[in-house]
Amino acid sequence: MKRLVTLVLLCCLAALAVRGQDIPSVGLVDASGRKVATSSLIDHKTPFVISMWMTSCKPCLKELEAVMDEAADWDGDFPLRVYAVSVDDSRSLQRAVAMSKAWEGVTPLFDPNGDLRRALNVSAVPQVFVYDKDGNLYHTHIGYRPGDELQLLATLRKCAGK
Amino acid sequence: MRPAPLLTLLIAVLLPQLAAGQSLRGAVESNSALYFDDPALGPAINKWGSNNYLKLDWQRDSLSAGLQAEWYPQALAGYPSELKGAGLTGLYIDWTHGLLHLHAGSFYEQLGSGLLLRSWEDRDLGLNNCIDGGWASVRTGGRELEFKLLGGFPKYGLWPTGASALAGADLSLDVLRALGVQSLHSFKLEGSFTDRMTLQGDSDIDFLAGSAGFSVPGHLMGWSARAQYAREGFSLKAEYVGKGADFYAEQLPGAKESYRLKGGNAQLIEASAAVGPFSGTVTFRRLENMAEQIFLTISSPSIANTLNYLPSLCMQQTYLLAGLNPYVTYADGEAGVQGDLFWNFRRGTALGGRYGMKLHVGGSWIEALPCALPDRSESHLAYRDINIDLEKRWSRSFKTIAFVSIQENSPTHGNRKATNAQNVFVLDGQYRISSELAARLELQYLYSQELSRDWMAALVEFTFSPHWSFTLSDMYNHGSTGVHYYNVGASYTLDAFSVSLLAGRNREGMICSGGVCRWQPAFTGGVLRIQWSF
Repeated sequence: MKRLVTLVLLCCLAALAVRGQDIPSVGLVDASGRKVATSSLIDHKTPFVISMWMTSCKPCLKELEAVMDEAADWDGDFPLRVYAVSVDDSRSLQRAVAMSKAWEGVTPLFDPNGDLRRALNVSAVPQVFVYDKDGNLYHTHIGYRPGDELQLLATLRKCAGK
Repeated sequence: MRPAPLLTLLIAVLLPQLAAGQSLRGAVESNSALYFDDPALGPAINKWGSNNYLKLDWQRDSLSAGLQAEWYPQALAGYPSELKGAGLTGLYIDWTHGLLHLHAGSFYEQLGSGLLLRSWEDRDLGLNNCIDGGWASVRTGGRELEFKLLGGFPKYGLWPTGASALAGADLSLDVLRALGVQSLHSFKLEGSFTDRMTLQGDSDIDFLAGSAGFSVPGHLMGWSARAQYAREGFSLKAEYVGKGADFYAEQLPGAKESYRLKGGNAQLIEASAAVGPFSGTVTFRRLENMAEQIFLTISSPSIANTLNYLPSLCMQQTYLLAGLNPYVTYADGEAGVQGDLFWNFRRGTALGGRYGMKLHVGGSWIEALPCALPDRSESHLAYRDINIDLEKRWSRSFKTIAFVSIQENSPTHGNRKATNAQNVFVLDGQYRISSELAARLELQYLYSQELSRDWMAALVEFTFSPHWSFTLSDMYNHGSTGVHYYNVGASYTLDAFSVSLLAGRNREGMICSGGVCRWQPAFTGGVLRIQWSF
């Protein structure tokens, strides 16, 4: 019995030792329909943001607009990399592509089969993820309220050590 | 040293080392409700309901594994009745080695646009038709060619039914890459094949088929061919789907039915383009007998009994009144077109002003196919709408959206000429009081001479970034019933943890998510939603 308890405790220790969360390795597509591996977003130089959104989600669009507004005034300490990953299914995928065509300061990507959504356990959008330069999760936040974009960019600067 | 302590020490040293480089993700979600009797709606069907989910995913390098568990001590009102009890609804292991990818256990899949096959989870609908089985895919180094084989048992409710099994294959060829052409253009050809094998037939269906002089095939074949071209600012997709002969209940005049074998087919063409401040998309789709069920039955109308994705070809409405009477796809036969045009008036232009402006105009037109209607001679309008929204920011702190939606919906899916028309007008204003505090007001009006006639609605929302938000809304049917549908809500978020409480009166109607709808009975009560991901 003692051994069993010891083993369980050790397993718990091991579980605690499991490192945070790397960005899961799944395939997305760009506006041209070509596959983009999430691992290719890691450049080992700068942190980046993944914002999960969909066309019928008004808070998502507000958040992206607010981030784009802030991106226009970004001071250039380091490149601002924001990937807006649409979780629209095939029904509204083209709509998401069309809506994102005019965006500036945000790179649109698409997750039509929900692979990244499932891997990140996103049950409701919007949800943003801040990853450090090596692709380790630094911060995540569910939902959007006006002003969240300021917190997001402050977190990003902190993650970059600025 | 004795062996046991040595082993313990080894484990203590090695396990954290083994654990390094791994990641563990998870999520917990709980949606629970209390229902009360309400003189305006009648007695509550149930006193409470609760849907609960747990998901865990583990990954180390190219190996990952995970599970999902669901628990429905009593499902929320309106959810499919097969959601009852607890079950391990997902369990998988996934391994990638170079160009080979293997997956065993539960999986979700979509072939093309999903007209041929889609397994997915939508918790708003109570739908999770994941497949218990496996798949294997292999690709070339430059992703010029990808091939996938899949098979398994589709899940219905918490467990696979055992009534059917599914096998499929998918091939994708990136033509320009395969030819070694370095280009900004992209041209892909794809094809898929599926076979739904009936393992246990339905006695009622077999009896009806036997009475009509035929037997139901044990294999339901399906295939699709797809082409996709894209270049910077433009894309064009075309898809043809064929479905083999299947049991078909044919509608006859006088609400009678006859039974025969009938195949199905679908055609889909999508185009999108962007030029300067304009971007737009147009979609044409035609369906004929395309509903594909996990198992054949004449007794289960559950939306969870589905193997493909037939979303309604119209805009998913987000305002309360605009989504009051949504259109639901008529899978027996319809043809329609949908288009959207976005005009982004940039900052600093004459119309854009200092802060820019956005205009969206969209619409859809759907006709029933004569072959799917009791009266074969002609078809009528099934649904059409036009939606216009204009978003204007007046200052750094004040923004408005004006929205108009004109909708016409046939209650008989185009079988009769009569339609229900409704016009919806919305004014949505948001004011940022400080960098953390914002207020929003929605005013809505629905004008109609049919169904429950006129409605009005208002919503007030206060948000305190990054944690709190509060909403208060009322939807009032002053044209017919005089019933108020009021709601008050609050939510709190801390990073990846969120809890919200919504209480009030809710009308009966269709709840839609991603163009798929389920029936929601009216209820008065409170809904508590807790989400946490880690």
